[in-house]
Amino acid sequence: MKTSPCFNKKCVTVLTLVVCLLASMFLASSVKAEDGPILSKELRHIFHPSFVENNESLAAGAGNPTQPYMAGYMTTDYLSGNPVEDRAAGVCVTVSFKGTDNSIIQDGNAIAAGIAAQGPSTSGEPWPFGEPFIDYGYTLLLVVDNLYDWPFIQGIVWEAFEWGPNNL
Amino acid sequence: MVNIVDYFTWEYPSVLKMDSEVNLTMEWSSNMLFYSAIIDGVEYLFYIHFPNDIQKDYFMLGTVERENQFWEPIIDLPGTVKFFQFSGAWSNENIGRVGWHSYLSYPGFKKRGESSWTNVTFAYSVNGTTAWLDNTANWGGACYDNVNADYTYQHVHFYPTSDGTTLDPDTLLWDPPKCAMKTKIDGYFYMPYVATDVLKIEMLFDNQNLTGDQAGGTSPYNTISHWPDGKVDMINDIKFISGKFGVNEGQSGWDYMADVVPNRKIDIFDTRAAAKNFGKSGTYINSTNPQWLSGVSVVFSTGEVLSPDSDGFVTIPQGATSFTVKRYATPIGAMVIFW
Repeated sequence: MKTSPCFNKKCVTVLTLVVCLLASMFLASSVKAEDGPILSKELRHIFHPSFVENNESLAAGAGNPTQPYMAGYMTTDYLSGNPVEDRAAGVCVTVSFKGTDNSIIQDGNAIAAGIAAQGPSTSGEPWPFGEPFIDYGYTLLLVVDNLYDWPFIQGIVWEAFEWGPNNL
Repeated sequence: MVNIVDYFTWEYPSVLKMDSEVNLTMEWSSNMLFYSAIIDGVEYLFYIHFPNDIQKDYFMLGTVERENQFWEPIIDLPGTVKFFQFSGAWSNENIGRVGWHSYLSYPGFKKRGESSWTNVTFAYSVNGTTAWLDNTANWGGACYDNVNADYTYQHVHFYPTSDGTTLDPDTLLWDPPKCAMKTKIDGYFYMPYVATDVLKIEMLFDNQNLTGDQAGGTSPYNTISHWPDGKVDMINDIKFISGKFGVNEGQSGWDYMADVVPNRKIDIFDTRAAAKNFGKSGTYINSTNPQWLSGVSVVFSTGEVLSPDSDGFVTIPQGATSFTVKRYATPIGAMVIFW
């Protein structure tokens, strides 16, 4: 049966509307998810370590941008002469952005608070005699930006190569 | 060189709000790293990280001087690696405006082989120029200028300033408490010579039967040896107080917890106060009741009347020599910790 171009156009328009409606319903439900938590492999912001190639200072640049950072750190009683406390199976901290007006945060920016911890690897001999040392950096952060009125939690595991074949 | 090896984002808009208090936890168990959080009292486990073959299943604690084993004979590296950091302000760029607040409290750790968590007792500040996570990498990378902090024991409030003030690195944020006192239900305390900065109300009691309960409980502070246990007995309380008999404040063996009737010496009044309640017991008013600090004030000898914050902390006015703890204007007994 031959149909008029006008009818075809109407069909396409209706179909497009239906698709858009369905898509918007789907997207709305997946983005809002008012009733449940959302775990995703997404990083809206990357709070990272800066790598230092020499012993002088931090080199800021495209490949190694620096981020403003302020924190507290755990130390032990220096009077005892034993600054290294021990090894921990777990670390924790309580954080809150209570009273924050997130509209003041610039587009593309965010504020994060939480844990930045370190764990070692078993790699032993330093270059050039063996594998480079690798230390692992673990962050678990509460983050807020200006996109949403609620904070989210972000975790990253980093590997940091000590001086060795990867950077010499 | 630094690389990302694993990552995730977790959100829960109907639960995780701007005002939420979130206890973030990373814990190794069975060679897996569990990420969880307690949000407003409810626990959520949201991610498990599986380590690679060379990744050790623990975190380092404390600090160590930087070193380069290969170049060390030639180059002396400056700085200190700070293994466990609790970041309060971390951004892509300085927000540059006031209006945000970041609160940190109770950073803690669970040692390998132990089942209980320990709060961090010594903490200093650090910024991104010296926040070494190992010999070659540094968290962040720049100082967060125009950001300052208010801090008391195991609590830090980071906030932006408009006058350029910035928290100095290596500022002592807190150290362990210096002493504790628990007196009578009249709520009267003298100011210990050793600690005049901050006090914290740990618990209250309006039950006369608890006078003299000075020991037998488990102290949450490693510098406070004696802690009440809710009953006055011979072995823990009377023996402890009488063992200090004749000692004056500042002398060897002195313990403020034995000075039940506060007069800067352990005498017959202290032993008698405990002996009078021998065998009696009671219940303390403490943080198990969310409203326990309602109506509480501290009246100092300087004339100032201050209310404790939500955790019980009060900054001691300069020149104060004594104070009385009150609840709704009526004196009440208290256990008080001093810094």
